[in-house]
Amino acid sequence: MNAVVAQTRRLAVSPYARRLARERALPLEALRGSGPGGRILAADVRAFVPVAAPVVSPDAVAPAAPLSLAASRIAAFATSVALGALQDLLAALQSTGNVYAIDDVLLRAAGRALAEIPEAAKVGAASVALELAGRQTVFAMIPEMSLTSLRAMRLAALVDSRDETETPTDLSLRLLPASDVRPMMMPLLAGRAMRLTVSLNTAGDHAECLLVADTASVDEATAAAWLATLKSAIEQPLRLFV
Amino acid sequence: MSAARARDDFKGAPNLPDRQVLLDLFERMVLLRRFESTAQIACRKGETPGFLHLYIGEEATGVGVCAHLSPTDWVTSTHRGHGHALAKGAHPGRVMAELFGKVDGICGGRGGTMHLYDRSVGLFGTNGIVAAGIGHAVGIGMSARQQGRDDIGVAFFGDGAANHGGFHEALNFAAVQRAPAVFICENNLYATATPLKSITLNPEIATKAASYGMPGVAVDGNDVFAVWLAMKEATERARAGKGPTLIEAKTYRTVGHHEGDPVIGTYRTQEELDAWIKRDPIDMFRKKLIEEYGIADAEALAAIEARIEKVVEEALAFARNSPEPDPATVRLHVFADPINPPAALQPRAIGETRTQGWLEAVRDGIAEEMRANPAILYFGEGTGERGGSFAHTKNLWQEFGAERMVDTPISEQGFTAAAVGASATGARTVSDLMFADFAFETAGQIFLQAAKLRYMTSGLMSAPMVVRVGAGALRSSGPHHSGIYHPVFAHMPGLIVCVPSTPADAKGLMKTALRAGDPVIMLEPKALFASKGEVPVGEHFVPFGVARIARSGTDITIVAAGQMVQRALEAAEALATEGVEAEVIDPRTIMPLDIDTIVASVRKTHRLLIVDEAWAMCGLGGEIAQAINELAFDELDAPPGRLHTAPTSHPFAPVLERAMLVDTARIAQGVRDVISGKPPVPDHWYTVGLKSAAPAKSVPAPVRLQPAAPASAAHATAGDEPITMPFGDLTVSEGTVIKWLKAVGDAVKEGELIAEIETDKAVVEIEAPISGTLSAIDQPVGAVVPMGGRIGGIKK
Repeated sequence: MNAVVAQTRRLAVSPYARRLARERALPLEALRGSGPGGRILAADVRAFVPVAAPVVSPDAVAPAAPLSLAASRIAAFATSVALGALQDLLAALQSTGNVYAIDDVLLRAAGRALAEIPEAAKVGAASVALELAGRQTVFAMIPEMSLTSLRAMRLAALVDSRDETETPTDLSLRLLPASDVRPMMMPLLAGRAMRLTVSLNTAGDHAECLLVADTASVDEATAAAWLATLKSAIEQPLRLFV
Repeated sequence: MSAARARDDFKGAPNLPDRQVLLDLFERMVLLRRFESTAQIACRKGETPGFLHLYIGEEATGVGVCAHLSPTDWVTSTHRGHGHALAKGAHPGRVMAELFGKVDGICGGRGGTMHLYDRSVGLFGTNGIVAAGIGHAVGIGMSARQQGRDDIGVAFFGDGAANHGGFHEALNFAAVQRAPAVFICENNLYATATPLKSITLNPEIATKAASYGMPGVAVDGNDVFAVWLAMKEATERARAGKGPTLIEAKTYRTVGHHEGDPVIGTYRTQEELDAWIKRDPIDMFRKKLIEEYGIADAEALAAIEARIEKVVEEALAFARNSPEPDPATVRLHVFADPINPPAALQPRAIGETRTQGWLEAVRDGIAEEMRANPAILYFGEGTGERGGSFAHTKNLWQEFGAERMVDTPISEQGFTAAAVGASATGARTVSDLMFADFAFETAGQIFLQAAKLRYMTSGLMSAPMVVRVGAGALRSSGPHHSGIYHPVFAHMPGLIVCVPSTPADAKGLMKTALRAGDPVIMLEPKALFASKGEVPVGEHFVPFGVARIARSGTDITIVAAGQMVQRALEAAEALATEGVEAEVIDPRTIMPLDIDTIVASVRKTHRLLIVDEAWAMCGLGGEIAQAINELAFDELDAPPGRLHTAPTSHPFAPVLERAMLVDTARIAQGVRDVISGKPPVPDHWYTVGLKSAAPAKSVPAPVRLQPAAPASAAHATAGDEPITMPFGDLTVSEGTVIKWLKAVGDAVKEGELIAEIETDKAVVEIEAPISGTLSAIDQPVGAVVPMGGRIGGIKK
């Protein structure tokens, strides 16, 4: 845990804001600082509105349960993403002591793509549900949040047992174990309009990505554009680190 | 054998005192010698921590002097003072235990060899500071006289002290006050290792008394009977109210300056030492008793010596067996506990108030306390009949007389030392130093004597005195009359430091100070002397360490004291128009500091700005900000800010002085900066080598019009020459018209007296500015006029 903290970029937070956030169980990472140098102040904590505020009430969602989802509403897009540039960059960063996993970059890239194609993000703004074993963890993708912070949150999520399956968000992300198999069809998860499945090849230089979308929520063109944006972000990864 | 019979037996010395008196002198000298020899061995064994300055060789002086004193007389002493303590009657075992730093020592182990005090026998301290105790004896005598006792103060000091200002100031003050005091110079020829003849062209110290109009006598300090005779006369003189005497006792220490220091060193010869050893006071007196006076034989004296040997052995055993002090008690006895006198702790009934000026309110407070306590003495320069430089003691001399409202020479060290001595012996004193800057002339008495007395004595003594000064900047008072220095005083454990901001608080704190148990530094901002405010009628005490919330607010806490309080309140009003509600906390006393009230305020506002008239370095801003870090870190929503007077001396030119001081606009901007999360960054560190304090390019001086004269002066009726209330004293802002000597229509000549205006300090005569006819009286008798204000006009 200490190692994680040490790697996390220092967030500027006033002591009082830190206390308020602690009392309200708000992750500081989710807050936007209005003070000098982005320092988070008490006012920022007080003004915080959870990003994932649902626009559709749970009651309204209930009838459209995914089990009854008509196959005719499903669209699927696949692409192969080159990882050479990303792997080089990760190796270079590792040599300077900054360790990131592909998983971190994928989360980040998914968040960026949602931010760039806002039509794809209707319910949960720029938030992504990461699929873990039997549960999901939702990350609010704050544009200013550093990759270091994102990684720290992801590692923390791995060790806690939080399940945010019920937290509304548009996209769930599934990372398959590395293999040379290309995913062709995956079911949508309950309450998610899109599901991205990523499978790295055993050489680690390519990733096969499948995006499945409910066209009632996301139209085909938007879903395709979103996947193209994701591919571009990963293949030109420098932008993801700034 | 009866005393009369014993005298009859004397051979050849018919005028000797009682036999027992002589034997007591012998016994006491033996006690001093045996005690010091034993202490010397203990020191060499490493049993006594710290230094030891032994009295060996000088016993006749201490014993001859103290033989005339009762336990209610007091002696002040020197770093070489074990002999004085024993001669005055202190318990040998408890003195030895004090040298050992043990709990049964006469000061509980807090004082030690150079700080031996014992109220029960009238021992006002051996002293680590040369000449510091001389003035104490003056105050002790004056204190006894004021309390109707004939006790006297006796100061022991060395030849080294005779060239110190403390000696000259004390002797002069004692002489002019006819103080019941005796000054004993133990001239052992060397100030540490410096020969007396090499540091003064007048080594006959007794003759220096003539400078102060008091008798001075030189005696053989190794002849106990000669000392006894000289002291007899001096004591009688002092008790009879005829004034002080200087006795120079010529003596010699036959040991090194302190234990471990060579006996001869590079400054004394073996021949000189041998010559003095031949004149050993005990041997000489033994011989006299046997051969000359014939009042005892060798066996009788040997029996005395054997008895004393046993006394000292017991003293050593007592010291060795006494436990060490409990480290848990180290914080005790810095201040009285509780620090506030009972009167200040009583619940305050909110009653009637009336509008009073600052000086009048404080004068009332002092007068009330002086009426209630006849043992209050007020020492000051021009504070007697003249009523003080600021009219701040007006009428007190008339009511309380010259004995209590003591006009002093300009001898801050001398009369402040007297204030320490008097306040520690039953009187209470005010030492009025006029300006805070002048306190440094007597810094040693304040910091090293008054502040430490309670602690050094493990709470058995204290110096409940008030050091009263006008403090702070006021309209070009300049580098030597503008300082406030409260952080300097507050730094010293044992001093209470008050910086009031309203007439009511000034009066209430002064009354509390005059009942407190500790020395109080009362820093009254001169800039507020002309201010007015509501003051409770009747008994009004303000407790130490209780802040006042001068204004409530929710957005930021401003801590300000003294004249900064009003500036902070003005800034708060300006900020309110911007939607910022500032809370202003006036701590009123810097020590004790009511940090709880500040913390409670920060818990509400989450932001803090400290505004202080003193300088920033090691100052109040850093102190309070760090306290908040420690006590309320989680409450801060922005880094605390601090605004201090610029780190320069006080310049004379008004434009420079304005540039130096914190004003309302700077406070308002400081608040905005803290709220924006970027507090003003101070630059008082003068970090060498990185940057220059001087601006790279001098900014052209702004062209500025003179500040407009008060409006009332400006609007002259067409064609007439205005008659105005003249500008005068810095601390006076207005006056009352008490008389018009001319009526409208009267002819007046230039320079002719036409009206009188009374200010707090004086009656100002108003002269006709030109010849002509008095054409208008704008301000009738009874009207209050500001300085510079128009009161009438003259037409040519």
